[in-house]
Amino acid sequence: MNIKQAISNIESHELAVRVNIASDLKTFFKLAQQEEVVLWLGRQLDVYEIRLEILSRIYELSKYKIDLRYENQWDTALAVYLWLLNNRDPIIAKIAAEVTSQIPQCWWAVKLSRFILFEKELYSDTKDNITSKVISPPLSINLKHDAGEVQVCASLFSAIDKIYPHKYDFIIEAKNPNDSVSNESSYRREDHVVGQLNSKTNISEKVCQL
Amino acid sequence: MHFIIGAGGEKDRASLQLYTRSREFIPNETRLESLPARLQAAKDILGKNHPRAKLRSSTSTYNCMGLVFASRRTWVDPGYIRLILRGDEYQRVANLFDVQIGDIVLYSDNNGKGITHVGIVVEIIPQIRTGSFQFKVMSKWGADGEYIHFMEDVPKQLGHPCEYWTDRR
Repeated sequence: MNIKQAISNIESHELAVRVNIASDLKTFFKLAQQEEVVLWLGRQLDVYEIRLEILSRIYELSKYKIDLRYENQWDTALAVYLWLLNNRDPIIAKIAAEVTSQIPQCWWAVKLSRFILFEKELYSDTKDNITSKVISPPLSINLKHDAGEVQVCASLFSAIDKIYPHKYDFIIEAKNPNDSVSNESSYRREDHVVGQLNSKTNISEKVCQL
Repeated sequence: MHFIIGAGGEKDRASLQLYTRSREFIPNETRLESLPARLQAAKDILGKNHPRAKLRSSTSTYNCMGLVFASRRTWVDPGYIRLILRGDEYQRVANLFDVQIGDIVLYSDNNGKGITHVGIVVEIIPQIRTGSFQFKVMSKWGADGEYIHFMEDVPKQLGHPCEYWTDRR
């Protein structure tokens, strides 16, 4: 088996059917573990370049057009990739989760993204008074590199720095999509990013290039 | 990136207002339909592996819990089964021979420690030769189809029948 075949098998309807017998995330991954191709790919992820290849594949799938009447047909595959990456390399998994969290019409992939990004299931516990609100990071970054363009949260910049040390040229685009977020919070995040780049770089200029 | 905090919770507008009889909210999420090609693949694969099971409906918009406790309207995580059984005042049926049509069967792949599946008993067939009964159950197999099947005849990933409960008074 090679990586292409593994990807093709993982993205097949057949695997999706077998794994979607699950009714909850825990069972979903238990079933995924029983798939030979998933275990095989998991072993290949020891190699750093293959982890990047899977990250790129996630990004590629995120760009495919989907039929809005139905669930995203790559939902299962995305969740499996994300899970495998998280098992092997939580830093890359966080970047991947940033991507999958924005892919529409997903079910398992979104649940796992929540888990990876927030490190807990965001299923409600009706007693703890969490209000239903939409949160957005005060700052987001578009990271452009050979694998494509990935939008990541500012807080993950240090993670990216570890993954792509001097390997690619970065184009960082920072924006504040949520006006309701206090400036203090935004600036703190900006400072963090600026600190990683260059203390004189002005993120508010929208684009800066290393 | 947009995440709903408390997705499926009482304040999530995408969830249904679903409560137990004791007024405890049952977290739930509505799920989109799968692609027709995926549903067809499910029919083919599951039909081949379980030829005696009869497909009743092919959809992914609800799961086994949604079938039993939410009139096929939504997706409920099996982790909430104890909350529902307590809130709806179900009583455990200790003996399989006391199970009646309409009672529910819980499945586990770990000796009852984690519930993976649930179904409703729809038929009891006496076995004259062996002096026993066979039970037919209606249940939803994950995202891919609602089946009427013999109690043990479920995909192995869903485990085995481990508990029986009733709402009979």
